[in-house]
Amino acid sequence: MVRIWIDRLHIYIGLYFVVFIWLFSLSGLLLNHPRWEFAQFWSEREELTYKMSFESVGEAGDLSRARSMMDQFSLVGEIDQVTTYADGRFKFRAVKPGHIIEVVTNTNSDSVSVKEITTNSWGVLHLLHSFNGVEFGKAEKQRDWVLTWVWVIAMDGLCVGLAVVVTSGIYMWWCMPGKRALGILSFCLGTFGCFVFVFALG
Amino acid sequence: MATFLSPSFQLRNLVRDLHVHLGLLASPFVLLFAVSTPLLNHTWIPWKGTSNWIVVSTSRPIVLQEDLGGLEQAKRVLSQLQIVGEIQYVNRRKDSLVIPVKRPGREFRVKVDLRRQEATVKSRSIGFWNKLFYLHKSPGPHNAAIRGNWLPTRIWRWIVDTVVYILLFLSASGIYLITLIRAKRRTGLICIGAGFVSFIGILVHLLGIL
Repeated sequence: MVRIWIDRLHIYIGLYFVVFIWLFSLSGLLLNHPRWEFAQFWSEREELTYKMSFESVGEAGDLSRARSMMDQFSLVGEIDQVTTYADGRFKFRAVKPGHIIEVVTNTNSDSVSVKEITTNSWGVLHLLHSFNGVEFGKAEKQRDWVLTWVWVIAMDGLCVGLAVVVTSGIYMWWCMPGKRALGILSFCLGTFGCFVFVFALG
Repeated sequence: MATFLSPSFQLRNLVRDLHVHLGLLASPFVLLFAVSTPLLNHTWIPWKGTSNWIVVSTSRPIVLQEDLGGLEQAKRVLSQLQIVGEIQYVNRRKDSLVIPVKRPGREFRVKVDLRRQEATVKSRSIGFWNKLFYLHKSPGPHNAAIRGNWLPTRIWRWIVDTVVYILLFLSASGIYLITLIRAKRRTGLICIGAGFVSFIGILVHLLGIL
């Protein structure tokens, strides 16, 4: 009975996450090979700059001010890099895969300069791999867009799924006596390789 | 008992054996990525983070060669200091050279005084979890021109590439194998469809396609 359920978990969870596995595998490959010509995206980006007027409603805090501006301009994304300068200028960046928005305003003026950067599909793939709204060592950087949370939960779900698939796969292999010898060799080779990099190289 | 369709048993057995053994080979690496990702997503480590910088040595005499480029100069300096690791970048200032170096578990910061031809070395342990994060992100897209200047980094890139290709094979072979098992085919295809719908649904909203 346990074997049957572990077999089902391995198969059905693995099949459910197939498309997610393809996405993160391919995007990981691209991140590790930034010089592949066919996958260039930053040099192929499109930029659009324009000015808009805005109405300040007395927001408290930089993040609220940035969010208010985005709502007024019907822009969406994860707010990143909010800066208030000593001369009164206010600047922030909002990001979503494939689309970066940079807004600069002078708080003494009622106009802003908006720059929208759009990348191609390779750029979308790049950012999907690491889009989580946070960064180690920057406690002030917090997720502020609900869709960032949705994507992070999807990534976490994939990781749990992969852990279940791997452990159930190991159990299923162990239940096949005819494949144990070669399986032990494969598993030990992989474990040794991982061990060298995680423990021996430091 | 599962009923199999007609494709030769040899092909089915070969694909299944490859699925099992390549899966076992890749499994420790897949677990490394599966464990490190949620921690990166939530900027949380269970225990023992990075230690403080320790000055390992100061005023170490260094022989510099003027006609060398930044990376080659940095490699020469590290060789004299007997430091191994991946050079992150080379920051050349007017009178100094700053060389951050990393390897799984430890990082160094070397500052060379170009006028006095002396080096100061700081080092710190980065802890087990930061080691996993470093491996997860290595080699990465930044400073592509010099990335892979340490042999183990290049080997790690080959290993990770191989794991990716194995994962792609495992998913394709998994789909192939499930279509051969009549009793599980329908549920398997429903799972693939459900995953696809979830994926597209999230992407449509995230990218603002509709």
